[in-house]
Amino acid sequence: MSPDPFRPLDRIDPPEQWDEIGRRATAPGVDLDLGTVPDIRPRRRAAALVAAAAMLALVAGIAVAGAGGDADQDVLADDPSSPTTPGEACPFHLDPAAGFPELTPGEPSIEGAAGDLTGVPGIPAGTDRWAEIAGRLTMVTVGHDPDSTGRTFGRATAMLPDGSAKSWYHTGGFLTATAGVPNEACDLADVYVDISAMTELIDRHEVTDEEYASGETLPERTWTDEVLDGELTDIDATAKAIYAAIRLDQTGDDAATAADVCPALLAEGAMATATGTDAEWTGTTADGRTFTVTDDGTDVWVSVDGDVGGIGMSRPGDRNPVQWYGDSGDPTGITVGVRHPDAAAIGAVRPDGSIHAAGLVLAPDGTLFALPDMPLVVESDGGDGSWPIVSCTADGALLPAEDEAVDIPDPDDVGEFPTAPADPPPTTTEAPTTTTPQDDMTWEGPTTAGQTYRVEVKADVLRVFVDGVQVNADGEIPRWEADPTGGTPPMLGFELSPNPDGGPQDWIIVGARPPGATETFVLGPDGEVPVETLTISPDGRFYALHGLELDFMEDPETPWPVRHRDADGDLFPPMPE
Amino acid sequence: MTTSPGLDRLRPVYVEIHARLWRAVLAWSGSAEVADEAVAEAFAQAARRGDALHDPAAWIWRSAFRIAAGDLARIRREPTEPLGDHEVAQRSGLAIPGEAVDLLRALQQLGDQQRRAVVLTDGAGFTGPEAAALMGTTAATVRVQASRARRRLRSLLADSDTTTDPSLEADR
Repeated sequence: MSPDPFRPLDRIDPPEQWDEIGRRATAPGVDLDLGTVPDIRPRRRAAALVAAAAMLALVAGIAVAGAGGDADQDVLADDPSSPTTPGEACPFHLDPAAGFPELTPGEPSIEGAAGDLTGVPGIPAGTDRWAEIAGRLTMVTVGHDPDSTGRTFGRATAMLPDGSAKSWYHTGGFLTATAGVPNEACDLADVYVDISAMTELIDRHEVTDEEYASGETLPERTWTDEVLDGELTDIDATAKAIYAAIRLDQTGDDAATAADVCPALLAEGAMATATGTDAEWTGTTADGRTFTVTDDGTDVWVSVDGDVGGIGMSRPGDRNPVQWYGDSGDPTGITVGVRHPDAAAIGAVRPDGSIHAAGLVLAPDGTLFALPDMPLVVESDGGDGSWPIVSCTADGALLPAEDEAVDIPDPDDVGEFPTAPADPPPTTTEAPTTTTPQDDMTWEGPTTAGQTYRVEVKADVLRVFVDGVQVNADGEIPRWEADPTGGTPPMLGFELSPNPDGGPQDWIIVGARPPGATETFVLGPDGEVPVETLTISPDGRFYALHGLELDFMEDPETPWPVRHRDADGDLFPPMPE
Repeated sequence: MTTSPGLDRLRPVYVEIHARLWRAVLAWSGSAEVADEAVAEAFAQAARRGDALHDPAAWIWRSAFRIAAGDLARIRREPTEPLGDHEVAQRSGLAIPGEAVDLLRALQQLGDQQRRAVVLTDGAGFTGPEAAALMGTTAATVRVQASRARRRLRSLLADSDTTTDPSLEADR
C-alpha cells in the first residue's frame, strides 16, 4: 500500500458538469428534501419558526402555500396563515401539539410532553440525533427542581417534527429524555440521550472559565431566545445549562466523600511521571501492554499497541476524559483526564469504596493523567458500576472531579510534581474485577455505522440503546446454559429498523458468557473473525455484538458463531458434531 | 442554456471544489454514477437557493454526501443491482486506474462513518475539525474513525496487491 492510498483517485478526471448543473438549476421542479439544510444563515427568527411550522404541516399532510412547486422559504416565512406562526406578543412561542401541555419558560414541571424519537417522522435512523435535537430546541432551563427532592437539574425542550414536544432532563448522571414521567422518575425514564450527546454539549459549552473555576453555585437561569435560531448558539446555550446542572449537582457532594476517600487515595495514589514528551507519553497496563497518550495541543487520544481508540478530549479546558476502548472485547480501558494543578493523588473509587490507582502516570508536564485498567463503563453514569475519578490535595482535601478541572495550567506554573517511587508499583497485583458479577452496570460499544450502543443491566431488566434510543422492550437478562450439542445458547437479539444505509437489516445481540470465559469471539465460516463491535460487560458475564457485516451468522453451517474459550482453551459451546 | 443569479455566484465555487468533491463522493459511494448525480444535484440546489446560503461550498459538500446517501439507499433496495466493486468500472466513458479500483473496492468494505471520515480527511484533505463539521460530529470522532479506517485500508489494500482483477479496469 502506498503512503497515500488516495493518490490513484487524482488520476481520475471528473466529468465536466457545469452545463448539467445549469440545466438542473433552471429547470422547474421540486427541490429534493435535504432535511435540515446546513449552513443557511437564518435571516430572521420568524423565518426559522415558520419553516419549522411548515415542516410540521408537511409531516401532518397539511397543504402549505408554496409546496408543490419550488420550496421557496420566503413564501413560507411570510405566510401568515400558517397555523403555528408565532404571535407578536410571544415571539418565541411554539404552540404545543394537541394534547400536550403548554411549555412555559422557567416553569419546572413541563415533563408532560410525550414522544419518543424512535420512529418519529422526520428523524430518520442514523441522523445525528443531537444536531437534530439542538436544531429544534425551544427552551433550556437549569435550576432547582422542587418536584424531585430539591435536586438541581438542567433541561432542554425541543419540538419534534411530529408536533410533539420533548424534554431532556439532567439530574447529575444521565441526561434523560422524559416521556410523560414525573420528575422524580427521570432517572428511570425509558429513553436516554447517550453520553455522546453529553459530550457534544460540553465540547461546545461556553461557560466562562471564571464561572467554571469559581466553585460558586450558579443561579437558576433559562435560555429561551437564543435557542431558536438553529445555529451553534443553540448548542452553546444548552451546554451552559447542562453544564451548570452538572456543576450544581456536584456541589455539596465533595465534602461528604472527602473524609472517606482522600486518606486511602493519598496512601495508594502515588503518581509517576510518564516517559516521553509532552506531545506523546506512555504508560503500562496491568497486563504489560504499552499505551500511548498523544496530545496535539487540541485533541488528546489514546492508543494501545498502535490501536487508536477512545473518545477524544479537546483542549484546553475540556473536562471530558478520554477512555480507550479495546476493539476485541477488552474489558478494560484507559482513562485520561486533566490533572488539577493541586492534585497530589489521583485515583478511581471502586464500587466497594476501595481505590484503584495502580499504573497511574502523569504527562511529563504534569497537566494530564492516565489511569489504565479501568472498567469499560461510562464514567458520567454517576454510579451503576462506574468508577469515578477523584483527586485529593496533599492536605487531604478533595478536589473537583477531574472532569471539572479548570484550565490546563501553564507547565511553568504547575509546581513540583510528585516523583516516581523508587520501586514502581507492581503491575500485576490488581485483583481481577471484571468477573465479579455486578447487579447494575452499563457498557458501550460502537455500531458498524459509527453510532454508539449501550447495554444497561439494572436489577433484572436489560435495556439496549443505540445513540440514546432504547431499541428493545425491557428484556430479561440472559443466563448461560450449557448446551452440549453446540446449539444456540441463550441470547437476546434486537433488530434495528430501518438500517440507516438502507442495506441489510441491522441488529444487535446480547448474550451470556459461560463462567470462566477468557475469550469471546465470532466464528466465521473460515475461522475467527475480528469484529470491532463486540464488547464484554464490565463484570465479564455478558457480551454484546452489533453488525451489518455479519450476514454469515445466518449460515446454517455455523449455527452459532459467537463462541467462548476458557483458560484451558476449551470452546463454549463446543463445535457441533 | 438559461442562467440564474445563483449560478454566477457558484462558478468560482465550482472551479474550486468540484473535482475534489466529485472524487470524494466517488470514493465514499464507490459509484461514479452516484457521484455524478449527487454532485450535480447539490450544485443545482445551491444555485436555486441563491444568496440564502451562508457558505455555499460547505453546504454543497454536505448536501452532496446527503444526496449520495439517498441514492445509495435506493440502489441497495434494488435487488438485481447490488452495489458492488465492479460498478465503478462498469460506467462507460470513464477511465479508472487499477489502483483506484482497488481503493474503491477496499473503501466499500468500511463502515459508513469510517469511510466518510477517511475520505474527507485523507482523500479530500480536510482537517479533523473541518471534516467533523461536514459530518456533524466531533473532531475526535473523526480522528478515531479515520484512524480505524486507515488501519483497515492498509490491510485490505495489502491483500489486494496480489488479487487485483484486471477485468475491473475500464478504459475510455
